[in-house]
Parts: sequence; C-alpha cells; structure tokens
Amino acid sequence: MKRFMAFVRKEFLHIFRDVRTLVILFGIPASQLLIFGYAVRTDLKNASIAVLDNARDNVSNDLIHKLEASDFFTISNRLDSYDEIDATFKKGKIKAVVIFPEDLSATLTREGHATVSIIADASEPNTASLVTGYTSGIMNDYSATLTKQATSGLPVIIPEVRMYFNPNLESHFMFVPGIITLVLILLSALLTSVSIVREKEFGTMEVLLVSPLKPWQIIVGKVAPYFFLSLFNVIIILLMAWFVFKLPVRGSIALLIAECMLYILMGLSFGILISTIVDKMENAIIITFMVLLLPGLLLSGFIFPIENMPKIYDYVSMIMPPRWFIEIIRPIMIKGAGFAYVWKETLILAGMTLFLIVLSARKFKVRLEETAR
Amino acid sequence: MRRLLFLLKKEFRQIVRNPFMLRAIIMVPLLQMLILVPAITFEIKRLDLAVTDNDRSSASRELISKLAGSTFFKTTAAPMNIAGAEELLLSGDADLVLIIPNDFSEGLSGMTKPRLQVLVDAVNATQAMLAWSYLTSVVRDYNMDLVMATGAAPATIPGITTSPRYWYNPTLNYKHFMLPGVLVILIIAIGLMLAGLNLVKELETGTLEQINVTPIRKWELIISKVIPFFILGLLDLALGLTVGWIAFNIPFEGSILLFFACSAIFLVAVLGMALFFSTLVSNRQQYLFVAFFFTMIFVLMSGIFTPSESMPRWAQQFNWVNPVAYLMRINRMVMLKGAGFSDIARDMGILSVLAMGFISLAIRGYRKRA
Repeated sequence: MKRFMAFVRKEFLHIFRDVRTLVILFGIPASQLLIFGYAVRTDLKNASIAVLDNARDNVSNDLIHKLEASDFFTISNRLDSYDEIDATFKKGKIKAVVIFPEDLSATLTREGHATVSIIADASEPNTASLVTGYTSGIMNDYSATLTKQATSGLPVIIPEVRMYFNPNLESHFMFVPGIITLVLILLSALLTSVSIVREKEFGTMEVLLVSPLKPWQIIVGKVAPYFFLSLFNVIIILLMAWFVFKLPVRGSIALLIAECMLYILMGLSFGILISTIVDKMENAIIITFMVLLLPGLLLSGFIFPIENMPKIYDYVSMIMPPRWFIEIIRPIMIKGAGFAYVWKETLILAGMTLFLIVLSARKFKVRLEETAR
Repeated sequence: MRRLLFLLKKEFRQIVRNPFMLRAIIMVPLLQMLILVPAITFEIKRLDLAVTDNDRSSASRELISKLAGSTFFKTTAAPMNIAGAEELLLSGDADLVLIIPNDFSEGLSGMTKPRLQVLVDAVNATQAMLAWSYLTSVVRDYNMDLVMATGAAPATIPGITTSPRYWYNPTLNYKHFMLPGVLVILIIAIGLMLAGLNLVKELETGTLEQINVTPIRKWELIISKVIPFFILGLLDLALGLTVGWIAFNIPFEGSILLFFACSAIFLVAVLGMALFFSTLVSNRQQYLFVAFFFTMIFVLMSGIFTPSESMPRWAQQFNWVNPVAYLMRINRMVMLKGAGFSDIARDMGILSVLAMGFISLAIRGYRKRA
C-alpha cells in the first residue's frame, strides 16, 4: 500500500510540476465560457443590410426607420439600382437588401396589400433565414398598427408565451453543459492516454512493469490524479458559470457531481484503452481527437441539436458517450430534473463505462503478458 | 542546398514510417467531409407540440389540425392540465405546449379576445424563439381565415407582406455553408497540430541537441520541417475539396487559383504559429494543450458557425488578428459568391501581414532559444 501511495504521489508531482499544462487546463474552460457566453451568438445583432428604396414615400420611410431602430439591423448602404446588389454582396459587407417597390403607397391604398422584397445572402443560410424572419416580423408589426382600427368587433386571438427554464432566453444555458463535456474529455481521456503513451515511448513503462508494483496499481496510480483534476475543474467551471453568468444548478448538485464522476471514469478508461492500442503519442492524439473530441463536440448535441441532423446521425450518436452525458447533465443543470428523469441515460452511460473498463483491463493484461515473455 | 534536400528526404521518410499517421492524413479529410458537413446545421426540423384543448369545439379542433398540418410542428401528447404540460417539458417529450382556454370558441364571436397560453422549452433559446414565431404565424393565418369568413373584405385590413429571395444558395443548403468551414479546420489540424507536434518531438526526444551539433543550419532545419506539412496541407485541401464536390455537389463559383493562393497564405500563417508555440513549450503534451487552446479560440471566434458580425465590439476587434476569420470570409466569398481578387484583396493583404507577423514571432522565439 505504501508503494502504491508513493507512486500516486509521484504522479501528482509530475502534474503539478508542469505549470504550463495546468494553466492551460484551467484556461480552456475559462476562455470557452467567455467566448460562448459573450461572443458566439446564434441570433442576429446589428446585421448590416442595404435598402433599395424605389418608393421614397411615407410608408417606406416609416419602415426604414423601424428597421434602423431595431437591435437586429444596421442599415449600412442605400442603393440606387438593382444592378448594384450583386457587387455589394460580393464585397461581403451586407447580409441582405430590402427592396421597396415604386408604387408602394398607391398599391397599399388601392388593394390593401403590398409586397416588399428581401434578397438575402444565403451563403450564410442561418443568418439569411433569421434576417428574413425578423424583417417580416417588423413588417407584421407595422401591418398590425395599420390594422388596429379595422378589427374591432372581429375575432382576434392573442397568444401569450411563457419561456420555461430560461425566461431571459440566454444562449449560454445551452453551452455550459457542453463546455463541461469538452473539458472532461480533454482531461480524462486525452491527458491520460498521452501520459501513458509517453511512458511507453520513453521506455519507462517497461521499468514500471518490472517493478514490484502490480499492474492495477500502475494504472490506478496513473489515472487517479486525472480523476481528481477533472472533478476539480468541473467545480471551477460551475463556480465560474455561477459568478459570471448567474447560471445556477437547478437540480441536485450531488447528482450532477456523481454523474460527472461516472463520465470521468468513462474518459479515463477510454484513455487507457487508447494507450494500449497505440505506441506513439501523435497517434493517441489523432485517435482521441477523431473518435472522442470532434464527434463529442459537434455530433453529440452540444452545439447542434441532434434532432436537426439526418436520421442516421441519431443512431450513430447512440454509441457515443458524450451524447448521453449531455442528455443527463442538461436536464439536471437547467431544468432541475431529478434522477427519475435521467436514470435510463445514466444506465446506458454506466454500461458503456463498464464495457470500456473491462476492455482496457483485458488489453492491458495482454500487453503485460507480452512484456513478460 | 543539398543539406536541405537530405533533410526533406528524412522528414518525408519519417512520416511514411508511421503508417497510422499516413492513413490518418488521407482518411481524416475524407471522414471530416463526409461526416461533419451534413451534420452541422442550424435548420430546425419538426418541433414536438403538445396541446391541451379545454374547449373541444370545432374551432379549437380546426386550429389544432392547422398546426398539425404545418411543416413546423408534430403533435404529440395531450396533457390534462398544466402540471402534465410541465412534466412533458421537463422530460423533453415536448418542445412546446399549447393550452386552449375553455372560452375559445365563445371569444371568437368577437365578444372577448381569447388568449392562448403557450409554454415553450427555452433551454435552446434560438429554437424557442423560432418555435414561438412559427406558432404565432400559424395562429395569425388561422385568425385571418376567420376574419375573411365573417365577410369582412380583405381590403379593410391593410398589410405588408415580405417576399424573400435567397441568392448564392437558393435552397439554403447548410452544407454549402459548412464545407468551407470544415476545410479550414482541416488545414489547421495538419498545419498546427501535426507540424507542431513534429517540431516539438525533436526537442523532447533530445534529437534537436544532436542536430544542433551538426553543420545543419537553423533555418535549414526549420524549413525542412515546415515544407512537408505545407505540401501535405495543400494536398489535403485538394482532397477535401474534391470529396466535397463529388459527395455534395458544392458549387465553386470563383477562381480555384485564388482559393488555393489564399489557403496557402493561411497555411503559412498557421505554420508560423506552430513554430512560435513550439518555442514556448518543452514537450508535446504542453504543445498539444497550448495549440488546442488557441485553436479553439481562433476557430470559434472566426465566424465558422455563427456570424462574426453579430459579436460584440471587443470580439470583432480581436478578429483583426485572427487569421481563421479572414480565411473563413475569403473562402465563403470565393467559393459561394464568386468574389474576385479585387473583392478580397484587402482581406488577403491583411492575412499576408499576419502570416509574416507570426513567422517573425517564431524566428524571435527560436533566436532566444539558441
């Protein structure tokens, strides 16, 4: 036992002596929180649009004012002719052009209806749909002011909305659970595999294997520091989110931490497994990135909801632990859901973790026997 | 010069001797293209709508069928009361719940204005806003139908409608949007990660010391390390582009030469960054995390997933020194809009300045080390 503790102590010392890595390890979540919380925006703000006003009458002026006044848009160009549109788009300065037809007021008075065209730069499809969505929203508002007098005595339905879990419609509610997932993968899977493979490369792993230390002691000793480091990092993230964004953990913190520990175990076993398969550090990095990190970031539902992807991604993501983990911690953190809502996903994640532990233990034993020969 | 050629030969040999990496260099672009491009989309498919109908009149049923018939919604459960509705939101079985009051059809006769209650799961704020605006537009249509049915002529209800047209990507195909982005990630992976790790490996394994005592000059060593990854980066770019063209029919409106020229400048900037970072660290693990840290920042802020113009002032100012932001803009403009040299000249110029900046930082770093 003393041997084992000495070994664990050595591992901890290794980690703390590497100040640069430690700083970055805590810098990554901090910078992510900053970026996702303040910089990355999935909605529109001050989008540059141009206006081609062929009408030049009261109606068009009113509408232009409304557009200008909204937070979503900034009118940066006034165009004089249709031909200028393509060139202006190519310069990349504007997202859309709003075109008011010549006879706007006349058509409005005569027929009661008029159409304003919007040409959107769809090379950014998301922005384009938001632009058309918001401009038609503004036009609708304007139409409503025109309609006010006309509809007394007529049926009018008023929908009222209540936004649950996120009444201020903040976008960072979505991201903090994802940041936790990312950081845990980095710490528990990547760092573990890199550290074990490094020992392999330098030959010190062989030295460890012929020492009196039992193999399980070596592995547990190697991953123990990363377990605690990951847990500590999660707590720091939650504290930062609380202090900077006032993002609370609505559900039980104990449950959240317990689920995180399960996920960390998964990452650690994945790291160990990778380290038994590869013997060059670059390869460990490539595998972990391609199999765990990139899919974990992009395909797990962290940024892009899985429901929006082609059906097959839904099926494939079922074998990805990050997908299940997000489905566990998001409800706990943001909706305040209890264990009853996440027991199924927890079971699946636990199953995956068990599978990885057994697999990596087996492979490690095989390697051992090879070394003994 | 001969020394440089020998060094290059050694570098290429070492790369080839790692069969895993060789396979990765070919498979990674392929996989990234095929898997990531179709997946990354903000398009919203059908939302799960639950309805509590307290009125159960023909009017309310008509409203429900109109909602069910729209392409935005898919009706799921019908909870009995608010508690049931909140359950559905909590469990994630419904994205939004509509509660129709029991005086709905009465109110439609014009006496009162019936209020519909809508409970929306707002964890994903953008989706929530879109869900709300889709719902109100369907309700508005339904309202319009009712008004027309009472016989009031439409002329008495003036309205302005908008007619949108989408240029450069009429079908709003997200793949067209994401492909340039994934290509950029590819270049960074090879240029920053692989190149940098290779550089630091010599340092870590002590072979750098050995090289230092040979007649090999410092610049020869650095060039020999950079050129292979420069070539590989451009090759991978071509591979990724071809796969994208074959698999997704991505259009290429602009000049391919211009595209590769800008990507080459970007690759130089990235390699300069790799060189610079390698002077800050002492082993590959540190390099990995330093490079990853900066990559995440540069990539996320670059406008790859979300428009950089929507970002706050400080973020946009940061992007002045973010090479990824420039390449994203250039790539999308050249590929999708057919922008010409004059349109991107400014961006290209600044990118070149950045590239030179990183290289000089790297050179200074190396001098200090010596």
